Amino acid sequence: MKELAFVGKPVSRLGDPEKATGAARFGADFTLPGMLYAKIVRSPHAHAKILSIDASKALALDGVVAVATPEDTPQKRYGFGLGDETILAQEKVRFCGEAVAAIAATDPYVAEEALGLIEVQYELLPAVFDAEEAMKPDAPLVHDDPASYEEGFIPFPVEPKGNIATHTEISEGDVEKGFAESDLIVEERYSTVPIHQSYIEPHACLAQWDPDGKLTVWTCTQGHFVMRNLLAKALDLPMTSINVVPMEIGGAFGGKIAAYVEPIAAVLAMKTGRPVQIVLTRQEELEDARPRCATVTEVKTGVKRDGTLVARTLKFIVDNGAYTDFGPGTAGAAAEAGRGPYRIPNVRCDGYSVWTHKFNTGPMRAPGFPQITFALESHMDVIAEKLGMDPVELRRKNGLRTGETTFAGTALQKDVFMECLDKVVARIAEDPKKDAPDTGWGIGCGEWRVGGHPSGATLKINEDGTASLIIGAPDLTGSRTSIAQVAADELGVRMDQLFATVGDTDEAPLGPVSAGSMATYNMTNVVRRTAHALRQKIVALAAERLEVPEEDIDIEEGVASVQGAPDKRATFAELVQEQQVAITVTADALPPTHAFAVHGVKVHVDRETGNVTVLRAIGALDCGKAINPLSVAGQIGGGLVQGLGQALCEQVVFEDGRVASRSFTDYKLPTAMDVPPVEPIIVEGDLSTSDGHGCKGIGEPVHVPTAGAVANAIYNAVGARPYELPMTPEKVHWALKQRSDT
Amino acid sequence: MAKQLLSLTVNGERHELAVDPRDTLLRAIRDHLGLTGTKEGCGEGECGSCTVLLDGKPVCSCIMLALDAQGREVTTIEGIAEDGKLHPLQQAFVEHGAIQCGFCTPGMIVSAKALLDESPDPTEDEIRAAIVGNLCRCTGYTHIVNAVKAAAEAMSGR
Repeated sequence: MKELAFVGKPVSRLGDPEKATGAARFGADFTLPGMLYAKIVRSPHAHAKILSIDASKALALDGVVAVATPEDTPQKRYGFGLGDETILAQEKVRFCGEAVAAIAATDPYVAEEALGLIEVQYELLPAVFDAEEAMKPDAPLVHDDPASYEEGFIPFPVEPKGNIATHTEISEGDVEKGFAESDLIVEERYSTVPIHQSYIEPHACLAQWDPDGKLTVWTCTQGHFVMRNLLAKALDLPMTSINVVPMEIGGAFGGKIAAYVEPIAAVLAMKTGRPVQIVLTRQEELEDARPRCATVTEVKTGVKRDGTLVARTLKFIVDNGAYTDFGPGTAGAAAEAGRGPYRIPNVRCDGYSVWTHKFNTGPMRAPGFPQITFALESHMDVIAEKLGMDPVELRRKNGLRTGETTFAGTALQKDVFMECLDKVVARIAEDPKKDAPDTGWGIGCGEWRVGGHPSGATLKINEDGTASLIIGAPDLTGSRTSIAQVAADELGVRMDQLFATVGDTDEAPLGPVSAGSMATYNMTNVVRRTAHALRQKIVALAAERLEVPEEDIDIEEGVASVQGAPDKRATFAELVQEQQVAITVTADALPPTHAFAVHGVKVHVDRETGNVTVLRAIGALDCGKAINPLSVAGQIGGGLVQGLGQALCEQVVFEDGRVASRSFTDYKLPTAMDVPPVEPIIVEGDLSTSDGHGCKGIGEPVHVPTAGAVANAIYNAVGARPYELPMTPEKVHWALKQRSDT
Repeated sequence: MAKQLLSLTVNGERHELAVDPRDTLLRAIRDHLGLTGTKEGCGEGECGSCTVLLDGKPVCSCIMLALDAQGREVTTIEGIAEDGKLHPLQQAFVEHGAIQCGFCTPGMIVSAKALLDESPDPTEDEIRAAIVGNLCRCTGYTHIVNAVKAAAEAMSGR
């Protein structure tokens, strides 16, 4: 097979020069004439009936053009797992910070001032803030009649019981028999806190309503087709009345999928007849966005003396906040992956998604998996120690091998889990300083299921012979470049002869939301088919023009030539003179695929302060085929560092019924001085069925096992094990003290 | 509030702007001059995506009043490229995979330029210290540090 010119090479990304010069346009970077600035009025109470809203003082302020209240919005519900959300709170508020009204003004200072002039009367109601408390039968209800809600976008089967929105039950084998056969049973409880995606770009959108009834929304979104769908439901409009234009997006990690800013901008645009811009403050992001949910994992595992895992029961509780969003998917998928990447014949895993009177949560980079993997990988090291076994050997003994089936339903074609583990372990063994005092290495192993999604692509040859590719999946992670690499190789052009655009919802074929690691996996599949079909057309045209059979035609760098007679040639430009050559191909959703990731982290722990310094970080990823190795290495680095943040310092603090974290002073992100260089290890060979050269999803598996690796490293360093994230100096200090007290 | 006149030089060009006294330098740059390369990530001087050079020194423009830049020289990301060609830092960022979403990139490049202007041959630790005020959520910093090192080498002709 001819060597690929671009696939597998570290090609520089499309759009990077524009980002390097500041020319790239993000959601807040352009304005329209007559544009108004909007601000959102938010509830100061966690659970209350809205008795009245008086906007008269605000409307009297010079420069305030309109105030939107719930009466100005369609009484329609919409949402992800369940259709339970409204554009502005209807009749009651369910969390502190919920949007109650919105103001549009001619300048941002007036809008800000008007916020204080809207008078809302509330009747306070009892509230519940803890998921386990909310599960009790006498807890105050967050939703009184969830059975009356619409189906969600996904939709997840929701059968609520009180505040328990969903309960996913996975059961295989016979756990009681398995425990009876075990030589040792270990039962533990772990918990994690909410953390925020903390994309550096706050939500920014601009909505414009044309008099002929067309709404255009420019926004930072991971999925403009999802956005269009949710807007259509929220505003009760047909999709043809809405065009969503995806801008460059300044990070997302799952937090820019749901529609909660755009519908408000749209309502104000429709009410005023003027373009309306909303940009959230960092405080609003922390108070009313879609951060990662807090979780509790209760796990009980039975194991034989020789290390064979026999049985497991697991309870995984997701504190979902007030509205459903992705809670069911988070709890459900994690329950399905309750074994970890190991062979355990008898399991019973229960995943619960629970409503509380708190800020919404949403999907964040492998939802549920970083949380549950922190628990399961810590648990594996605890089991190993109780058995007197090396934790790596315990994983080798039980880890999935060639021929075995993953929780995603894929059969392993190659021992890629072991390869990832072996390579990380080998790197650790080379460390001459691995036994320094108060220093330790820890390993974490994880996995992720990558979903399929219907997709399409349009590819056309322009009159000058260059090629234009139009796709509908926003470029979140460099996917546009990887997709272009696949197209260029398949079509037979150079990267500089092909331009890939992400079209808006009016122009582009449907694409997957750039989430769930689905973009490159699904899009390279359909794009390769598209490029192949277009190449066939070119070959047919060339064969006719050059009067040779089709098998004799070669294509290279935009020129068709005859094998053995290279002076008989035709450029793409010559071939398309008589007829346009363009094609749109659609593809059904691919079946799910699966990826493993193994992280090795080395830490030093200060025994007095509990401070943890990360000295080294290794990330191995099973990626099938690395379309762009530089991009893959970049994802490994970014995902692992986010994992370090989750492990050590990030937390959305909730106190007294409200979010207390207000800024990046309160909410600590890792800086360049907090983390070492990340050492990526790319493992290929276990190919997916994607025509995109068997690539798998990258963005999420790289973030799954870090916290577990850090917890194990801390234990190996000083013999103390925190059971809660984040493992702040305070928590490590107390774990150390507890250990020395006992 | 009555507007006041602000005279300043931005990327080598003199400007006179009528600004609200409450306007930050960031707002003046973005809204009045249309230079949207400099970003607002937090509005509180913590993420560094609003970094510009003020008389050659890096500052967070979101926590500085526009009027405090009266008569001074500002360099934004749009002023980093030289004669229409990418600056070696910009070129290195592109080549080393140091750009993912691109939102922190302008502030990161401006901070790195300030470093290389002072210290043409920085160590890894010095690079990390120079960009400690620039938060990046996508890259984990590894490729960014590599890019700054590579730019330093290219600029010194090594």
